Amino acid sequence: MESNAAEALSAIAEARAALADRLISPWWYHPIFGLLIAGYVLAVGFGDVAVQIGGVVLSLAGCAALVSVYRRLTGVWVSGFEAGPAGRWIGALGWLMVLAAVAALGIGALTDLRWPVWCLATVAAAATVVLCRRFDLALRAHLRAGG
Amino acid sequence: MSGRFDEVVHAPNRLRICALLAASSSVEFALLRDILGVADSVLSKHLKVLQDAGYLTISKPTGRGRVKTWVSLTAEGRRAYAGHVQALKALFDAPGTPAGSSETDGDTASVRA
Repeated sequence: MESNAAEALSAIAEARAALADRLISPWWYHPIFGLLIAGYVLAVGFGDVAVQIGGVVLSLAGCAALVSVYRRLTGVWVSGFEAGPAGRWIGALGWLMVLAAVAALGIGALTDLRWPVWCLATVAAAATVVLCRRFDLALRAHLRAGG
Repeated sequence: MSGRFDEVVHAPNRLRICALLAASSSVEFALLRDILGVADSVLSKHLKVLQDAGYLTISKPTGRGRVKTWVSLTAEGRRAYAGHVQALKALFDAPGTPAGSSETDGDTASVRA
């Protein structure tokens, strides 16, 4: 029976490794996601309330469309909530979005300067790309480690 | 906590299906078929068994292009799979000890028979 259990555990590990092999994001996925986040920061930092709300809605719609394309291309979807330890990178991305929005609102409310918002959007886009790539790497490692 | 050996999950192809689904939010039918290396009919049969047990949901979102079939584990399916893996690990770690004996003597005995 224990050899049966060993075979079953081995089959599980092989299935998870096969899934990890398929979880390769297209090269354009993270940059487009970063651009969407940058657009969200710019809308929050530059716009009046209508533009801010519209920017957030458009960014969310863009993210949903991007995820839909990703799913159709790869045939798999792993949300940050079901990614085990790798989910912390998505948590970090959530915090980044909150902090970037607060900073953009603050800059927009307290100054007339536009360049800090552009800088903030650029940093948010770059950080999004980095965090998402770290998520991909951590998720594949988690799957191969056996979870 | 000891796991519960689950006969529905234990069949080799269904165990691999559950392993793939437990590691993801949803997986497309064609990808499952390709990774398992089985025919559509074989995969459909196993998915039906798991669906009838309440362990997975199958959806076919409509939209542009070819309709794809997406499969995901239910919360009950995730619990059953996690318990089964625990039982397997218990068997592997302590071969002489019946896995989940305190909860599922009947299940384990039937598998061991």
